[in-house]
Amino acid sequence: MRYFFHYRDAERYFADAEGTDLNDLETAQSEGRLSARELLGSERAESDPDFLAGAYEISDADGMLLAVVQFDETEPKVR
Amino acid sequence: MDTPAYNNRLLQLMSHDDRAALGTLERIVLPMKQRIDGAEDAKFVYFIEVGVASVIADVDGKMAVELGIVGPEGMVGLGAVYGDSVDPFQTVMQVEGSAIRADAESVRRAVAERLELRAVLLKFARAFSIQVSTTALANGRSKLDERLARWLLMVADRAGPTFSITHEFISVMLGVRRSGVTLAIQILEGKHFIRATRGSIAILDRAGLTAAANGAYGFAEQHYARLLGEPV
Repeated sequence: MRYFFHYRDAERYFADAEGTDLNDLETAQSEGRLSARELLGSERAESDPDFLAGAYEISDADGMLLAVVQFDETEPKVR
Repeated sequence: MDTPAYNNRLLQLMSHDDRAALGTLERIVLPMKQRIDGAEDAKFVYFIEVGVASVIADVDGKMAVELGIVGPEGMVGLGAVYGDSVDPFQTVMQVEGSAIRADAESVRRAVAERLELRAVLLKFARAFSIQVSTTALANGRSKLDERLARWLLMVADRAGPTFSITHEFISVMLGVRRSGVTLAIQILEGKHFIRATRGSIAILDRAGLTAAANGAYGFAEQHYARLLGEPV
């Protein structure tokens, strides 16, 4: 199934028009957490606070919200 | 003068006699996704005139990440300069173009015999190894958006300010998730550094993008300029 990772924080909303084919919602949530870690990098203090407080809203192709992945709830990337 | 115009920095830097020593130089078209590494038997060396090639480490098809990129400032098939006929990495055209193709054995022989030719090609080998080193630094220390900014600038340096590329392809090259690439592209677009349309990207603000790279872009480029001058 194709999952879409829309980003939202206090200031911004960026829709994902591309989507990624993944096996199931659990895999999509894991993908969202890994992606958030990549975006935040290893020095979280350097990330802008809005971005750190942001989240992926995972939806299907019809726009149905399936899950939310909070960026600040992901484990920091291990160096 | 009988010097043909080559749109490749290394060929431009060679004397007529050094270029002649490379053997038959054939201009060939390189479509997107064309493999131009020699794998077990590197028969050719490519002096790129148009387009961009990615050098990719792909170990048993399991781990793939881009090591460096080459365009009209360089060559593909550096093994010939080192006297090696095996190519351990894949090289794939990521932006279509064309190249001057030379026989690898002729290049190996010419490099062994001709001091000035060897100096030009070794300088590029040095510049390319510095580029690959900064890729390692960026992969280990820079955030996704910084690495993306660096990568877009490096492609634009070689392909021009507008080029066709998919988010999926960028994610494979950077070794990151596609979703983060799509988001980082939109953030850079929101700052008016780039304009992204489906399947293509245009660089609007080089200075802004360089600042967004946060130090990841510029070091290798300065060393290239030191060694070989400003690229074409």
